[in-house]
Amino acid sequence: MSNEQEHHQDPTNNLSSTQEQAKDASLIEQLPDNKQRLHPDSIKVSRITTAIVSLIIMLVPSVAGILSETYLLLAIGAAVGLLIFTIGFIWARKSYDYTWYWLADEGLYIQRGVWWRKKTLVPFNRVQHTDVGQGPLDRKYELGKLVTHTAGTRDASVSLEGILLETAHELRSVLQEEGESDAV
Amino acid sequence: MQSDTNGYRLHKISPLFILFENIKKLIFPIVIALFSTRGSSWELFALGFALIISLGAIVQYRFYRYWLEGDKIRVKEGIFFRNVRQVPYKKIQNLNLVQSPLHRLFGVVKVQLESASGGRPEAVINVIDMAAVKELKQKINGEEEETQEEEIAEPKDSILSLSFGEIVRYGIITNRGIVAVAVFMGFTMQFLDDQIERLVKNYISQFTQWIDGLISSVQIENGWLYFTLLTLIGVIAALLALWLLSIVMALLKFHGFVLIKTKEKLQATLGLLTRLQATIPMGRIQSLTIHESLLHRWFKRIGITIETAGGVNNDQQGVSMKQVAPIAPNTMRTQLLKEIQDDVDWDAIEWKGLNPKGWRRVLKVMLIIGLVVGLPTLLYSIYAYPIWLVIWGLYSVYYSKAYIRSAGYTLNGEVIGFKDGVIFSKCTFVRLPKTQTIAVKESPFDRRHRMASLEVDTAGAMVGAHHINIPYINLDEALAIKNSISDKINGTQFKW
Repeated sequence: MSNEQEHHQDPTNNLSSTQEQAKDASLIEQLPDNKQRLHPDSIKVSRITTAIVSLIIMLVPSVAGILSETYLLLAIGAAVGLLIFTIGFIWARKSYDYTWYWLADEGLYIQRGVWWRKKTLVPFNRVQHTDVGQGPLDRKYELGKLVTHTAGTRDASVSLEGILLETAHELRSVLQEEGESDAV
Repeated sequence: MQSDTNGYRLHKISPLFILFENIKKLIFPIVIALFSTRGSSWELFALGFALIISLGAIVQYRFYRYWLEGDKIRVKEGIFFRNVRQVPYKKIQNLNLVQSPLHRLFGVVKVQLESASGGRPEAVINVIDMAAVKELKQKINGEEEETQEEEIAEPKDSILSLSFGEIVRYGIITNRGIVAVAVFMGFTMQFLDDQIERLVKNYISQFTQWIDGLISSVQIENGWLYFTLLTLIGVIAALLALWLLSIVMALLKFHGFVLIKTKEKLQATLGLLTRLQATIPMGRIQSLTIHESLLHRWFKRIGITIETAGGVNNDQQGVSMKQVAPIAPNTMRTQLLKEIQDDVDWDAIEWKGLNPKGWRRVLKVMLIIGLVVGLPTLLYSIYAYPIWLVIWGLYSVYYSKAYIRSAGYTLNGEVIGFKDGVIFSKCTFVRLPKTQTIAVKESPFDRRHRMASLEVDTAGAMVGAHHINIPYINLDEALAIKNSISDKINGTQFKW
């Protein structure tokens, strides 16, 4: 379980992770040393997405406000849009700070959630199949997402978004190899 | 009728049953079409429609064929869009037989083959005769167990058979009538117009007048008392009617329920009018839940349901056989569990409690709910709100203590179990090899007390159903449980 370590190591990684761990511990303090963060560009992608969403949200009241010349509506629309954008802007960083993934002997771990935290283990030999996907914004930053499908129901597909496409492919091949070698 | 090259055909009568199925599928469009084209020449439309679907049924029958090959069944169907499907015998999870009174008249049966794929049954054979079913079963079950399979389930060698009284008890306990009434109401609401509304109101007023007559003959003229009595009688009458409906529904569904065990399979036979025979391979059981509601406890009964990986999860899509023991005496609990899952040592189950401090957290949640839910009482009177809060508070204290006391989990080398619930107590077991993903979850409130919850995902679980989701345990405990499960399944391939 060491072949996936060589890829992208972000300089800000160590800094922010130590800060975060000191601040509040519990589930997060149990993370192993080989934990990986998402790619920092994923923050940009998620911020651009919120910008687009909030612009669309602003659009409807703005058009209605201009057409009917009720500028209060316009103001409210703008305010709501701005609020959503600000929250999304901050949250993008926050959720990045609180998301890790790592491989262990038993499978792929994903730790996420700022307030409600969840550590999910996808055992290697429970992986049915994996998808690697890439959205239009992801393409610009060479990011991708890895979706792991199990035979389960509630967590039937566990996705890891905001990693390099290259990393996604690597993880996928590790998952496949490990899954097959287990088939005794 | 059968040769290896041409494959097996359906029974000659099957166009009739295909026709019924088609009509069932089309009944809503037809009804709506009839209502919307009121006054125009709808009879012609209906006639044309009927003609087309009956012709369709015959053609469908002509084009349906299946082959029993060495290790798989091949099904060919379709007129314009040909569809050939191959299902290996090994992948077939359940084999279900449906026989309505009409089926019985012609000595035929509808067969449903389920694999682990979600949604609909893998193949539906509508309809074949008993000889063909026998052949099919032999192929699927492997050639060796030919003889004993075909005997009709005798209650004597069964694991569980339900008498009339037991089914009545099941009806009273589960009270499925409520669901039926709700569905019916929801349905009629859509078509509700003034006429029906007036009709319903008329009935209600007639009913009240009738009771009125009854009561005034006893001569109570006090307004307040009279009103209370009237509501009381109304409620009791409604409850009785619901129970009666539930009992009738239970009888229709479970009359003559017999569960037998042959080798690796459970076989349940049930139904009053439409007989149903479902086969469940025991190794494929993903999780097992014991239901023990307040009413169950009064009658000293339990109910056992299972989840299989077979995709059929509701009755619309096909037959689903989850209720492996709809109702059974509590004394049979261990015996039944041993029969259903014989690879688990049921005597070695030891329960561990949740964190005892957890009850305060349950209490907090309950109190917040009470504060919000009680708000409308303020409209009635200022005094009602505090009274409500006191009553709710007392109940909450009782509830949260009872919840933490009764909830617990068990974990050994073979199985993980979780039980909780005060009124509707449920207890779910998952054999460790059947776990999929494992998650340790930590809410902000958990963090303050260094607690966490642990959730285990399995195949075939219904969303919202009781599952392994252990709350209010220490974080270290949750991580330890996670580790021991993952150690156990590490290196074992998942076998449906």
